[in-house]
Amino acid sequence: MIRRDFPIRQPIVSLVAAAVLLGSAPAFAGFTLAQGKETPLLLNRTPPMFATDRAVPNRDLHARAMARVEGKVLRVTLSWDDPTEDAVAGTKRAAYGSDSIYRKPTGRTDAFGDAAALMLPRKPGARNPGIMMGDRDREVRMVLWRAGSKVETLHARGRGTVEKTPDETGMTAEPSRAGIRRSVTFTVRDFDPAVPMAFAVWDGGTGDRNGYKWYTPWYRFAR
Amino acid sequence: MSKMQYAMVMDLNKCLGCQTCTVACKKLWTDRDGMGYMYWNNVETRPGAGYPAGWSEAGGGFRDGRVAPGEIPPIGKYGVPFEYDYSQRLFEGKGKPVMPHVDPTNGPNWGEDVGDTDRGETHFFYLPRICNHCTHPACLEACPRKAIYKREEDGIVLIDQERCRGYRQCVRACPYKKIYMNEVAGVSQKCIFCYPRLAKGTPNACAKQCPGRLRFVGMLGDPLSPVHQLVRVHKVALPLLPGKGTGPNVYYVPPFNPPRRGAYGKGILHDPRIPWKSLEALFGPRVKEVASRLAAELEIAQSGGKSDVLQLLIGRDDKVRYRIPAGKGATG
Repeated sequence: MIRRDFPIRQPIVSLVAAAVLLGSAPAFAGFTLAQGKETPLLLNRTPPMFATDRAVPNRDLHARAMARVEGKVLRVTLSWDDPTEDAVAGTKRAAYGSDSIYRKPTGRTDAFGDAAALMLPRKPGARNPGIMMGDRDREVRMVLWRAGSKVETLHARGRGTVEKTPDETGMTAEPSRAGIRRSVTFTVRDFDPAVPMAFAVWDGGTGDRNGYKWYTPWYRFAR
Repeated sequence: MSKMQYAMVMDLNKCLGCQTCTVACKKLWTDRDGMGYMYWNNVETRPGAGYPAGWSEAGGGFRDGRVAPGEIPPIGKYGVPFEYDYSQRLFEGKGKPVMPHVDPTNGPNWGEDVGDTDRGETHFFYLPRICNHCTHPACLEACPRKAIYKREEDGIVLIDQERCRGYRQCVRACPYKKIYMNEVAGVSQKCIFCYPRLAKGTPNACAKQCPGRLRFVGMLGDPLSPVHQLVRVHKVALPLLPGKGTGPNVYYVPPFNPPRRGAYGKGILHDPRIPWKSLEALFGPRVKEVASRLAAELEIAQSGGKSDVLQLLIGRDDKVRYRIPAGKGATG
């Protein structure tokens, strides 16, 4: 049986969507992360991209987040159930025995790594950026952790516009695992409590990557 | 759609399966980390599983005008490219036999040269394959990063290695399974139609090295190019799996289909050894029409006449086989 932290998850999103369509979108949709309090997250699933895609995975990740802000530093720990360890190979060169002169052969062609991201609007504003990577007028910045790879900082103005921001040094991510519970702690060193935050989780074991992901609405920090 | 389009024609009647093209490509382009299983050019036998095994049944291309991504072939369909720990034998004096680091269970040409049997007679032919640099690339359509682009100046389809994030929607969407994920680099990679060579006026490595001289290269719209002549004038070359809707720009002169034993005196269209349905599955319904045209040309030549098509297909020298436009003034 699937346990739901939010039994009315879809109507909430629909109400927000309706409000946006009617031009009365609230800047604050009601999702909050209180200082130091572990909070169950509302997770939504992106729709299929292609008609030939597999059905959406029907499982609840029981994702939670706990945020702390000290001065201008945000530390928020995102955790979720992930029984499988899925990592991409990264760029390490393989060595067989004591030998490092040989090419690293590809071992997998259809495997994807677990990942998680924290997204923030670049600037505070009356309206939140679009939840799918921001929008043309409202840039978002992200810190992305991918199992087996380096942590990346990114920015975007809408779907398909994601670019790396290698010179953004104020955002990092640190993973950990306890049994099936996987956690990633994101740190933002120049956090403005006036901006909301959103999370995304990719379960590599089910083929998640790119737009195939779980994502939250915007959450606002409250002391 | 690009205004100009490079194309390649391969005459399957001349392919002897020597894999020189495969090795030329491999040594030039896919000899680095994470590329072990990549064969931007491969030669497989038909009927046969192909590379990756079962690629022609793995989906992709367009359906009802919309891109329809299929499967990502697992490594088992390619076979894990094995390495040898030579150091044990050569440097450490352990004296153990040099063995593959995995127990091979599949690979390019695994179990090939077998073909099929029809009413007691066997048949197969070689099918060299590269990226088709399609007019409507399904890979380009499927890429959520817009990392794949088709060059305006020559129609070559390339993957921007900086934009690619390794999502593999292109691998799913390519009906020919000619895009490969580089697990080490974290990006997808594919045949680049040797564009750096073409820019210097040198033909593609696979074409240049082919001992059978079966590959013709040029601009499809250039009336003087051999590919234009074979595809548009003489109409003896067909694309692979045309039903997938991608508009491939690699064309094949289908194999002359020899008559079955005991069919002496019959033409190549009667009682053929390779069943038509087998050829139609690969080259579409026009394959019989092309075979008729080739048979007519053959008859002209055998009765002492001169067949322009067959003369061209001989491909006597580079000037006949390749017409590489030089610089910007190229026609296409």
